[in-house]
Amino acid sequence: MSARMTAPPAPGTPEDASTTLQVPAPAVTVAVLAIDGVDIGPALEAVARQAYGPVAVVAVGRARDVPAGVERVGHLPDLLSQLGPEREYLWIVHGDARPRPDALRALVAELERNDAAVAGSKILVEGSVDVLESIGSATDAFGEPFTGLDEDEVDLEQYDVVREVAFVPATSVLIRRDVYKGLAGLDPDMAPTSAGLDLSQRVRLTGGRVIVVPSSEVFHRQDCGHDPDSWRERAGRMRAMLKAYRPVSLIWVAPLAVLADLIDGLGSLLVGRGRTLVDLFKAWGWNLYHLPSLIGDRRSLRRVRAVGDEELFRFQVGGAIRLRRLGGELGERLARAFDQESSDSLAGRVRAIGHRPAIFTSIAALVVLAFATRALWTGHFPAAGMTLPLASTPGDVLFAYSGGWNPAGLGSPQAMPSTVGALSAIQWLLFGKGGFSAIAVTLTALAAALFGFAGLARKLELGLAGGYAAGVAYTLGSALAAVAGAGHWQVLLAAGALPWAVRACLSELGKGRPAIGRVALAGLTCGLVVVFLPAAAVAIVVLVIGLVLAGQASWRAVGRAFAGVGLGLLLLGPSVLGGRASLSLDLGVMPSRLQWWWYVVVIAASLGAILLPEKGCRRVGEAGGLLALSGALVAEIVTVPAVADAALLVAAFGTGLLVTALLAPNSGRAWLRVAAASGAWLVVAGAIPALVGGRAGLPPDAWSDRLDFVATLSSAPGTERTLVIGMETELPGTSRQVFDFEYRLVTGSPPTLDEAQLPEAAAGDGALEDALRVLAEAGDLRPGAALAPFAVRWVVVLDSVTALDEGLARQVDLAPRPVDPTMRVYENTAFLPRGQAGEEVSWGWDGRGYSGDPVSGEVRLAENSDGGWGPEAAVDDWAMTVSGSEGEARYSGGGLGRALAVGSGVWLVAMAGLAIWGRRR
Amino acid sequence: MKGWLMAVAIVTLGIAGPLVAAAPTGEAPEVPVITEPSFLVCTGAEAGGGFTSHVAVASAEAGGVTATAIGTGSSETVAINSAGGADIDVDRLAELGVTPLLMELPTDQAGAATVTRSGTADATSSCAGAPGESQVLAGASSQSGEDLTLIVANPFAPEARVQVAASGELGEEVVAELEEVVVPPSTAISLPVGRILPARESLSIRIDPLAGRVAAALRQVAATDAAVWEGRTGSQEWFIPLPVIDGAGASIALAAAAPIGFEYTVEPAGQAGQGEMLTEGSVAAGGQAIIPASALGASTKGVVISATEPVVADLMLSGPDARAVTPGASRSALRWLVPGAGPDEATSVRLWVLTVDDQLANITVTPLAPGYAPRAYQPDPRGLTMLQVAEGPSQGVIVDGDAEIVVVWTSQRGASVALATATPLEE
Repeated sequence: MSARMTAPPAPGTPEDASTTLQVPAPAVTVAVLAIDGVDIGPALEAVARQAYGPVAVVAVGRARDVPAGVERVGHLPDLLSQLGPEREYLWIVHGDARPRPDALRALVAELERNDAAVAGSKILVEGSVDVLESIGSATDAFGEPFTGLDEDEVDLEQYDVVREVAFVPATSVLIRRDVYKGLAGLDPDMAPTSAGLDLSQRVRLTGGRVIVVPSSEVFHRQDCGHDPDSWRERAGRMRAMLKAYRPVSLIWVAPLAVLADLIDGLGSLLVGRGRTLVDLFKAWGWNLYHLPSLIGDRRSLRRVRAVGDEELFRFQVGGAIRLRRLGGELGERLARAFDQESSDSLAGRVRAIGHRPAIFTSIAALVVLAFATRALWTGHFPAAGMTLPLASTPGDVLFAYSGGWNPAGLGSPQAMPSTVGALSAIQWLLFGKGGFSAIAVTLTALAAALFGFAGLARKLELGLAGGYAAGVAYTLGSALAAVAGAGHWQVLLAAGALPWAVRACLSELGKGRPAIGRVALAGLTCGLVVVFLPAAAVAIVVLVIGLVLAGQASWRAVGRAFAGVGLGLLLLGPSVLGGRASLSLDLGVMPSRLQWWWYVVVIAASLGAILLPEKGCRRVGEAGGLLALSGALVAEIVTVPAVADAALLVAAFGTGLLVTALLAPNSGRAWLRVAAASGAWLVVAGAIPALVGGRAGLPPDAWSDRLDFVATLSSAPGTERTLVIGMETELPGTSRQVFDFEYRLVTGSPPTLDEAQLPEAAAGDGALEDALRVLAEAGDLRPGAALAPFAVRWVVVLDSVTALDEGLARQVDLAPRPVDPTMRVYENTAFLPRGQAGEEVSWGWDGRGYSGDPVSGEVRLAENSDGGWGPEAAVDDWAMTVSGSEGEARYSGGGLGRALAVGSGVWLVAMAGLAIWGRRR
Repeated sequence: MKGWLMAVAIVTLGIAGPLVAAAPTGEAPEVPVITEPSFLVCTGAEAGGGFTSHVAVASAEAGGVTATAIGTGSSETVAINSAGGADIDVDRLAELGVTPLLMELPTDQAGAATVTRSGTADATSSCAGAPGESQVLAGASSQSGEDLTLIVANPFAPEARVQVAASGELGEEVVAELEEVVVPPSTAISLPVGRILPARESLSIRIDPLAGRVAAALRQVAATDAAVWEGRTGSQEWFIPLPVIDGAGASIALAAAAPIGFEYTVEPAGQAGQGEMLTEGSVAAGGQAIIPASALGASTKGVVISATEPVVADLMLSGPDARAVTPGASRSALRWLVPGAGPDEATSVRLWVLTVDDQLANITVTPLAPGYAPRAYQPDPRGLTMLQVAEGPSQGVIVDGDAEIVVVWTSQRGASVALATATPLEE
């Protein structure tokens, strides 16, 4: 066999030339398909050398591709008219194919012997060591070819048996003339492979058999460059399917095909092959365009159909071949991502997977993370505490963030928190989809935290497997769960970037371009941390110092941490650098205290880390334990929520380091390693409570739809506020205290993130507090009138508050409205709008200011007075009036804020650009 | 770092955290001190038709008074100068029917009374608060010829629900339609108790709030006279002056403010009479006691009633052509505001000042209008001083004693008698 392997037979040396047929051989027309730019001369020569007599050779293609003197037709359909009854068979051969001399003879012989209608050759790759290209194909239900061959599989005659197949490629195919003419030949609209499939299927449906003849060997140079994955082929396969199946089959095949296409298209994005999705749409569009001809072809086929679709199913494989291929590709990418050092061959990587616990722990970590966030995947993002939905108009929020009026509470010129700016920008980039943005950002942050920590563990040379477990302990462990449980959503987002920031700060700078890139990367990652939690700037430095003390980096890393934090802080823009800055330290309720068992477990695990034999692991473990316990202690001591959050971030990070260190040892006594691993897994088990709700520890939803009545009953949106009264832990966003209850104003339904954090109290806030004091003391029969200047139309009192019972029972202008059994809702019958322009006219908040019908007089705005408003703003007690002549009032006092916001955006892009630029070599 | 040092550091930090967490934090939050807003409900006010009321409001301090008709929401604000009064005509706030008024007062040193007239009938009743506790209206009757109506007013925004219980000579009576009466926000309802429970010689009505707060009054209309009186919450001590009116005998009705039995004693008012028990008795749950003044002795001018449970004691004046009821006073005071106690040509107004403290030496009556001089009187040594208000504004007077007193006032127009207890002021 080796004698024939490397190349087709040389011209002029026909093999077995002495063998001739003993009976008159049927006449065959050979159609050699010319290929653009490919010399078909060798193909013609090979055809001429066939040990089969009665042949007529016709080249199909453009004149310039066909040698002079050869009979030529422009297209295959043109050949139909030339196929007279004297020609029994048509042999179609690609112009870049080299049939062995006995190829045609074998085809004819086997076709007749098997009473088949179509026969195809075994196709070998020319120039290879007998690598098989095709031995006939099966398909799946959607027409996707399945050769069954491994990559570069060598022909060892293992498939050398004549058999029926779903279809044979058109590289070398023999077909009975009557069948070909009866079926009107190949579909001229379809690409070659799919055209072959289509013809084979139609042949089979008319009762014909399609066989592959391995003894007919054809070498294929593959100069045709035909891409079987092109969109035309995909469209052709779709058309073949739509043409062949009966309606009853199409009912289930067609939707499944669409679904498989979509999964394939979207999944291909994950492997960076965006073309698939585009091809998909092109293929669908093409089929829609050719729908009329498809209907005609189906009618034609119906007239000659002899068997049902079962005959097609017999030669099909189960499942969707494209999805299998995609799955394999994704798995390969995943394996490569897990360990770039493993063998480049797929087989090697597959073997490596079995020997690398990192793969399993990473998959397990992902499963745990997916389970911990299962409620978010369903699209339900909780609204509670500082975890509030994004406003529906990110443009307006960005406007307010960048030097506009902060509408939270009774309004303020104070800058909004940087979290609001960042999330609104992301939402804006995601086409304003608030719910999707919040969920996407949260899931991305959690995944980033997990993978970031694992990457950090690898950088610290403590093993990837432990790194993923540590990532779970960090992301879902008790420390961050305490933060998340308090509704401090933004801290989770900061936690996502923190491992990357620490990792960036630990990296040596090098010189020149890489140094610039790494500094920029440190600034960028630190910036992503501090944007969501400014107080975490200290946490970054502390963590880097901890790792330096653990011997994981030089002291220069601390300098890099300071530099990174410094550069990152510039991203805070107006929220910190403006004249009316807000450090966002008040995040409402304090994070919950860590349980005693957390201390026990961490102390035990930390003491275990001291015993670790390997110095690197030991020092990281000790540092982790100290950081965890120090962070927890600071969180217990401080009374500022954001600082406590930052301390708990440190604690969470410390537990992660501890787990990494405990799972890392590869030497030492077995019992010690088992004990260390047990301690590590105990720490990891601290993540179990975070799994309960499926919200990654975030509190259950409290406000998504509870204020829906406001929107339902509101007569003029933007003109009213809702006063929500309850305990601090129950209220959306931050709140203020009077007596033993808390309160705050909200405008949204539901309340949104942009108003979550109340700005510093101003005169109006003091007046509101006074009004509530009177209400609590039951000293006013008309609390509604007292609340009217604040544009409070609705008063919502949660059941936990009893201090107001007396006052609310003994008043005349807060009418109870039974809209929600879980809270008491009162409508203020003395309500005055936010923009009061007279008895009949009211102005409403339009996202960027106030607007309404122009009036001749003044309009009172129920906002804390500020000179930045206009036109003609004047102080009216704690509120203000503006001229009503223009029909709108705008705030223009935040010019610096706008410049800073733009500057921070530019700075973000610049740092990202420099980080990318610095990575390129 | 040495291993043992590290261990010490870890354990120290680990123990410090929970210890800090366990430490008490912060101060207890401030607790609101509930204050009573200055308001009264004049439940017995009526507009138009057969009865017409005006509300006399008096205040020891200056300020604005807003009267809001419960039901219509119409309101009127009048200004009161220092230690003065004002009249509010109910007809200006409503067209017809029972129209309780919510009176928002500038101070708790103020009072108001409803003066209602119809033909020959006069009735006065003090305006009262709308407590969240049970109220009792004793001394009623639904005998033939007497029209008895219970008026329940909810001046507030939340809905109120009350249970109305009646007890009479037949004991406590359960009436299904009175078991849960809904009084919508800012609304008053009239319950025809006389038709629901007809032919009762004596009736006491107890109103137990199930939700919200209400003010209640009874209106009893006889052929020639009418009485309107307000409900009061229970007290274990009551001061009852016993005015002597021609053609109308006095009696006291006692009923508990809860469905429980009680014992009571009746003693003469004043320290001289302390320890001298005029009568005593016990009342079963759901029952009531009627004590005629004649049974207390002709020399008894006023009594102090003590009960083992919170009760309400109402003073009744009744005769062939006269009918008047008012709750007694649950405390004595040095200063009493008597809104509405102003005479006119056809009406004789008298103040009845009960001496509670025998040290009483002087009584001063000050009309609530500029231009009138205070008048000083010597107290009657028998314990009850009758002062005829010969002149003064319709808004009323202030009565001061140099020792503790209790004041009721009566007005007579023809045979008709009206009776009301004055409003004690804080010292």
